[in-house]
Amino acid sequence: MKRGFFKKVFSVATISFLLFLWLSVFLFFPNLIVKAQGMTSTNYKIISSDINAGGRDDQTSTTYKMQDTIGGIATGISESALYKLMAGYRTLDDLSISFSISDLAIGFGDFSSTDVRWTTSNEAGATSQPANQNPTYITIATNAPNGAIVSARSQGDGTGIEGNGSAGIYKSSSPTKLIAATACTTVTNGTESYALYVKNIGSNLTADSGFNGGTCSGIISTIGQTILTASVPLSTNNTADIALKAAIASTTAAGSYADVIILTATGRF
Amino acid sequence: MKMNKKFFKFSSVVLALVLIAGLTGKFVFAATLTTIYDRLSDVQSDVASGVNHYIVFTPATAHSGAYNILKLRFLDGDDGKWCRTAGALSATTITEDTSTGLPGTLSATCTQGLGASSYDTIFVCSSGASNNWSATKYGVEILGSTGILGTTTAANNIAISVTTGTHASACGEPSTNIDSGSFALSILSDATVGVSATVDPIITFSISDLAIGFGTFSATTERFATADATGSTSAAPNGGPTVITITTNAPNGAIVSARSKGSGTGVEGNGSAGLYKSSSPTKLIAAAASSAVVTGTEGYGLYVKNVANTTGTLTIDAGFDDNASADLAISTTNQTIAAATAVVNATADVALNAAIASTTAAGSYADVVTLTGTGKF
Repeated sequence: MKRGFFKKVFSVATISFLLFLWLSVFLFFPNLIVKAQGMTSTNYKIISSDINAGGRDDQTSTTYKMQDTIGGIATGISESALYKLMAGYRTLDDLSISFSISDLAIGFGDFSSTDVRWTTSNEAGATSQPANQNPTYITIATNAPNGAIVSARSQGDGTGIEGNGSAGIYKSSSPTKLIAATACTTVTNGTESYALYVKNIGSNLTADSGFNGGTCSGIISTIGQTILTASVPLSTNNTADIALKAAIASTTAAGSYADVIILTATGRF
Repeated sequence: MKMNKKFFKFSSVVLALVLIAGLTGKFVFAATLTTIYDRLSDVQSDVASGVNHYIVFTPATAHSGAYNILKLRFLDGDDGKWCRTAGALSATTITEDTSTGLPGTLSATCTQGLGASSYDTIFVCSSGASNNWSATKYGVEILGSTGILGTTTAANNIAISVTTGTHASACGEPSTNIDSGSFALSILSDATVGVSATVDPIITFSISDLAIGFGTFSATTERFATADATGSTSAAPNGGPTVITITTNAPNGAIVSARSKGSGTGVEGNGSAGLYKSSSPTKLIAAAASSAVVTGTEGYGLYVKNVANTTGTLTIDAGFDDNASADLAISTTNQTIAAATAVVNATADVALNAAIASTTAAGSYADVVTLTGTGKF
């Protein structure tokens, strides 16, 4: 009995000593520790540090993929077409961002005089600013911890590739004509002008100062510019109207004009 | 005790293996990138080229390799979508979102995935002098060059894996990984808003004075019409005898035409152009080129002068510029006296000169000059 008891005590002491030696490796040889392998996949993100050893993230076949880590118990991601296991790390399977635009075709209608006009969702245009959620509005939702950015640019007389051409609303039939993009403050009766701004902004979004409201000073470009930002994750109060107003001169060439506003949303993770 | 010896031996082997693993760099200590995003120039699906990436990230750990590397790995199923053509990309610093331009000499490249467990990947590298990274928010813009960047099919929550690391001699897969992280993208089937407008055709045309005159020919001296209809022996000053104003947004410009009623009814082409005495016996001082009208010879000419362009360019027709070269006589059929090739807002004086011979029949003469303004839409 006594011998058995001492045997057990000795075994526990031995195991404890070995564990101490194991941990001492990290304590006394910190340079042996190498920073994380890219243990992320399309569906999770490591949000905390983890001391571990070994493991691979490249064990795959046509029907099976395994990312594991030695030192935990069956940690990492194991998945196939039929199952997925996320174990060990504190993982997030919820990197999310969604973005939508309510109306993809808006218009000023007919400029039958040189008065300022606004775009409307029915493309008929109006001589006053349209109501909320008109002419089009964006909705963005994301769990990005640092919020989001919404950017806009104009195709104008360019190809649509960022930076190509000049921003504005463009008559592409010969002879071509560009009503160049301007600040909102420049849009006045009888003066060729074309401006984008945001209005009716959800409380979690902030308009960039250059594009805030109908007196904006920013000028849309063929290069993406920030028009809205958020500094927190967005699940509510995350819509904003994208508005456009313009005016022509008496000598602005008659004809059909068009522009393409290219909108992007980016989560700041 | 026998059992403990075995266990001790086993544990010693395990410990030795752990030490070896540590020495060969297999220990893992994850450090997570913070504030990471990739703002795309297009979030439209299946864009084939021209997609720019504005990447902002904050390393958790210092990087001091010959090459410090940021690696973006896209989804396994997106092979050839993000990296449309593999090869070198252009990398430049940006400072958006209060970031600091990525230090060092920048380079970038993309590689295409092929099949399962092979991924489209973008590598962004900083090398050369002062290329060390600290825990600073960095910004870098990646544009297509030899390598061409595109987008994938439409989806929300497209998670991108990010790894940073170093390499001793090349830009590419890090030989030592340091930090990791991930972010997500949203790609839309259509991320563009079409904006339309129609500018209606506009044209205005006016004539300042509808009754002008030569006054009395008391001699055979050449006379000029004036606005007050008393006439003058010298050309009417600018703004006289009558001024046309034409404003149009016709994209192809405008035409100003004139014709004379002369001895006709006023219907275009009827009768002969000139200054006409309709009382019996009738008499027509026939139209002539304005530059051909000289004292003592019957003649009646129309010409245009003093063009003032506010927008565009109204040009006097060569036949009516009174320069004695290819000048024309007005007709009962419309002739272009001035024209513009694009939108125009201009004024011009329409002038008349005439002379009589000593035998020109006495009496009252008149003509009606019909002017038209036409936009070329």
